[in-house]
Amino acid sequence: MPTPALNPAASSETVPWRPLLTICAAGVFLRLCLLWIVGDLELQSDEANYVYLGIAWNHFGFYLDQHRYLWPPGYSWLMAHSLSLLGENGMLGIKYLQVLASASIGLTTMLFATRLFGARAARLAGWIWVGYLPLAAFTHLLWNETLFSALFLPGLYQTFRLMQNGSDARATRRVAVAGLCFAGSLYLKESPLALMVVLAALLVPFAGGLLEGLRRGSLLLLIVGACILPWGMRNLDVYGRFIPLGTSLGENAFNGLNEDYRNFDWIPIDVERDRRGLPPTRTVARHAFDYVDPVVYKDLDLRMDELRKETASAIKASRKGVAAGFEPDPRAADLQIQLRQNIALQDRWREAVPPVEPESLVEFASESGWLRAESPAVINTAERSSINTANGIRFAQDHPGWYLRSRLRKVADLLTPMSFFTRHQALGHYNETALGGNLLRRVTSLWALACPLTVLLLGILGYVTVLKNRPAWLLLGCTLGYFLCTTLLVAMSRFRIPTVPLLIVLAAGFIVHRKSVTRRRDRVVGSLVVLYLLFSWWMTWPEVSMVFGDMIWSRHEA
Amino acid sequence: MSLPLKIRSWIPHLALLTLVLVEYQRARASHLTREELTLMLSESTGREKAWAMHVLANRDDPSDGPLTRSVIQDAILDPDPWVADMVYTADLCRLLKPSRQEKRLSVRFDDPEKSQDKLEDWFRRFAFYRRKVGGRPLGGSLRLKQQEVQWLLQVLRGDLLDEGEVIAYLERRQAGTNSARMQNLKPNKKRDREDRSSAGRFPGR
Repeated sequence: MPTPALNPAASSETVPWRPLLTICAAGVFLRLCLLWIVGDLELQSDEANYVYLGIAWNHFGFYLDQHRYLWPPGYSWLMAHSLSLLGENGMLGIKYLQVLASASIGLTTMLFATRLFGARAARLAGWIWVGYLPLAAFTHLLWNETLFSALFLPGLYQTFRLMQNGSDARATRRVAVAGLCFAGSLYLKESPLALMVVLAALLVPFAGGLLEGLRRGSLLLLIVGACILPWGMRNLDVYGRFIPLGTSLGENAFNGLNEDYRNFDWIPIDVERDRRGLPPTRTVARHAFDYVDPVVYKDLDLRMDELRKETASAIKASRKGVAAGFEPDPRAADLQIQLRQNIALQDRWREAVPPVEPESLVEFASESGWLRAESPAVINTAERSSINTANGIRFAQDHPGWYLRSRLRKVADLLTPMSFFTRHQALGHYNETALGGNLLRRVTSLWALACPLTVLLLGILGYVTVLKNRPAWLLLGCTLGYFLCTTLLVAMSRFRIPTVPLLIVLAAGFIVHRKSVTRRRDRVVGSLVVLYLLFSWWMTWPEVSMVFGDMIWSRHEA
Repeated sequence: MSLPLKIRSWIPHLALLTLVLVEYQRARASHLTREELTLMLSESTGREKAWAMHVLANRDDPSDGPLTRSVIQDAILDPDPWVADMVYTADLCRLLKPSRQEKRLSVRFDDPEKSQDKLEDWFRRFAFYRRKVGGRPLGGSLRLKQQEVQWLLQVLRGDLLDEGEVIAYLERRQAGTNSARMQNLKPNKKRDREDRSSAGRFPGR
């Protein structure tokens, strides 16, 4: 696609601070109300891990890794300090901090919109941000998405300003602010580390001269580098290898480049469905996008017999090995678990009404895929990550067809209408609050479902049709593309959160300037984008509709 | 005499390069060798010992390092809470199957009178062991809940806990777990005999 012509129509527009600050205050107030309504929710998944790491940090005086991950230390460090300062209210303290920090997200969203599409679009973007429930909900959850975005987006905005105005007299100051914001955000989430190089490179052609461009780009990298070096050196000291901030690549390769399809939007939901006696979401999934070895419904019995035989012989061999003084074969235990899972799954398929067509694809984890590298084969988390990454790449190379099909599914998982708000509603986490009441649960969940559907559709349309500013086109394209690429391993709704404010800007731009889309090429590209989005939603629709119907629309009485 | 503008604009680079060099040098200077860390294990404060254990468990190949089976097992009984607590974290559970730790934790459920740890010490270790992050292969089971966080913070402040309340709560919670290791909490002589062999190639002595 050719780069649009430079058209900085709105770049010189003055910022209408008063309305923007009013909208920002409304957004913060709404988030504050949400926090007051839900209060200090029970800890879920990673929330409990961050609290554990914060307490352990206070107790031992240093940061422990997470065995399979080494998360960047920022959020746990904040948790440690908050717990140390506020005691049992420390977790609530972080939530209040997130509510306040969300002002940075709202304001940056509106500033981007002002510079790109004018004041009207900025106000509209602001109101969309205010009411975007899945984003607002993160301020009362102990995940680092809000604080990350509150630092990352201002950095991106400063980068945009630098690209927009080559002769900016405050260029050095802007680079410094951008660098510090990015470095702070990297301490919370390491995934955009490589994006820093891309952003530095983007500064070069828009600086009004090659030397000045190189000066700005290198300054940005030096600031980020100087900020993250101490932690990288600390990791070198502990793990014997330089890890700039953290490493989660290996575990993500295990989850995303392996036999078993995993999406962390569904995993806790399936655990809960099992507890409630409901069929797992996998029984309705479109398996054409995740199977490695296709299994049709009519072959289930045959496959089960094969798996039983394989399991029996693996257990026998493992027992012989143990008797001879060797370690038990981990594959035997793995096969046993799979056999149990498959028996349960097969029963679910048979219970399905109406019965599944004989030729339709069903899930059958007949192979265990590759196993995680564990001690004593690996010394530490960093080494484990490297080995798992290599195993994942090998698996992808061995199954190129599966790799391509399953990446379509990953993109669909990223573009899903689900969000953590709807996931929490489905799991019943809000049941003890006003949001869990029958009416509010349904209304807010429908609203939370409508938010990504609308913003993804209009935002992507906005990018391909009305964004005519070359620096912004490159900057937003690289940023959105980068986050899309990083989720091609494991995707879930949470991973798109940092990009949502940018999509809101583009959606507002599209709504305001949609009538200017007259070129045939823009219309064709726009139509193709809409078709692809519809295709992605079709891919995840069976699970989304099943969960919405079973777990949100109808209330579960424990 | 002022520098030309073009040269002045590169001063931040010089300053940052200097900072990077200083950071690098400082980090290299504070680097501790395995010998120094080994010495720290015996001759320093509790927190320093815990740090030494953390680094020794993660850097280099621990199979020929100072964290031997006897060092780990002795640490369980160490009067220093930081050293004794470290034995319940992922770092050390990775090196030697944590059967002794599990036995020490399970006795409070089975026969509280035989428990060797004070309730508060026991609870702290229980939380570090059972709720450890990344934990299933290393004895972790369910994640922390608000109630447990409150008790843990209380314990770390030096406050006392109510045994009946804590044990009843934990028993209720454990009933809901599907962790295989969790079900192994009760002492099992046969398993313990098997566990006397090492978890793998380290610690081998």
